[in-house]
Amino acid sequence: MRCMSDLTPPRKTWSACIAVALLVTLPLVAVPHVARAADLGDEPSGGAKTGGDSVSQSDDADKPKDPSLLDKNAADAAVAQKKQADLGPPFYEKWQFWAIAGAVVVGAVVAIWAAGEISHQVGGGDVRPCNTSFTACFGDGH
Amino acid sequence: MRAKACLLALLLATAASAGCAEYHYYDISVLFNTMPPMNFAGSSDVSLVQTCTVEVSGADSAEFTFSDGQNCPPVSAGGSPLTDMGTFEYSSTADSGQLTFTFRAYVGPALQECLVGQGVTSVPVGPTTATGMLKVDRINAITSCQ
Repeated sequence: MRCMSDLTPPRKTWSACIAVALLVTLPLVAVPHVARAADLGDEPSGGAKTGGDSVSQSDDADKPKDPSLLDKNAADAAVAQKKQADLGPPFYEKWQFWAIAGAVVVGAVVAIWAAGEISHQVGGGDVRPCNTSFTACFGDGH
Repeated sequence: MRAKACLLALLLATAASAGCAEYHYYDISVLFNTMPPMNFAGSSDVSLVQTCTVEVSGADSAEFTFSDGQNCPPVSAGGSPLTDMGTFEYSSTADSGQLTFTFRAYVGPALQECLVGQGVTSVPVGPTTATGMLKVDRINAITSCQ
């Protein structure tokens, strides 16, 4: 530890260490105590008292009297409704959704048909019909 | 990204090299030989044939049997026996080499002991439609089989 250093006189070092320790410890001890007192409705003992001009909550003129404004559920519902209004109708009620879905379905059907047709053509296409004068027709495509 | 491009190029190259198949048609006329020494003794002899088969080998391979009503044995419209069986057509997508048609005639089911006639012809793969003549010789005595 630097406090135990041999380079500085022991007496000054001890004083400085104590001063630093007090500076660090005091806020740590004092702040939670003051905060706890505030939570309990007490005022810090060292705080300034304002005298008789404080107003109780029941006499607060700013508090709304309309119970509907104080109803938390109604407020939440209003917020949710506002959010829903901002988002617009559900995706499945939008014409763009159905247009895209229809295009995808039609595209898939066309792609399947085209793949079959291309495969058929690559394989030689349709075999020509059997001549009626022939005894029989055999082989690929028959 | 580079791997995908290579794969796409490979697929395109494969598709291009594969190309498109094209049908080739082989019209083969079948005639039972009535000329000595390996001959059927006329149309009445030919009328004893009950089963006709064709085996295709070479550039393509297949085997098929003429069913009832496909002129085996050959008869005229009036029902008279004939030695000319007419023409059958074989279709194939083979694009090179040659096809060998082996015709066999049986006096019963398609069993070796019933085999009485055989004819072979080879046709090179060429134009869209190629023709060939197949003369069926009698290779065994016509006896009852089974």
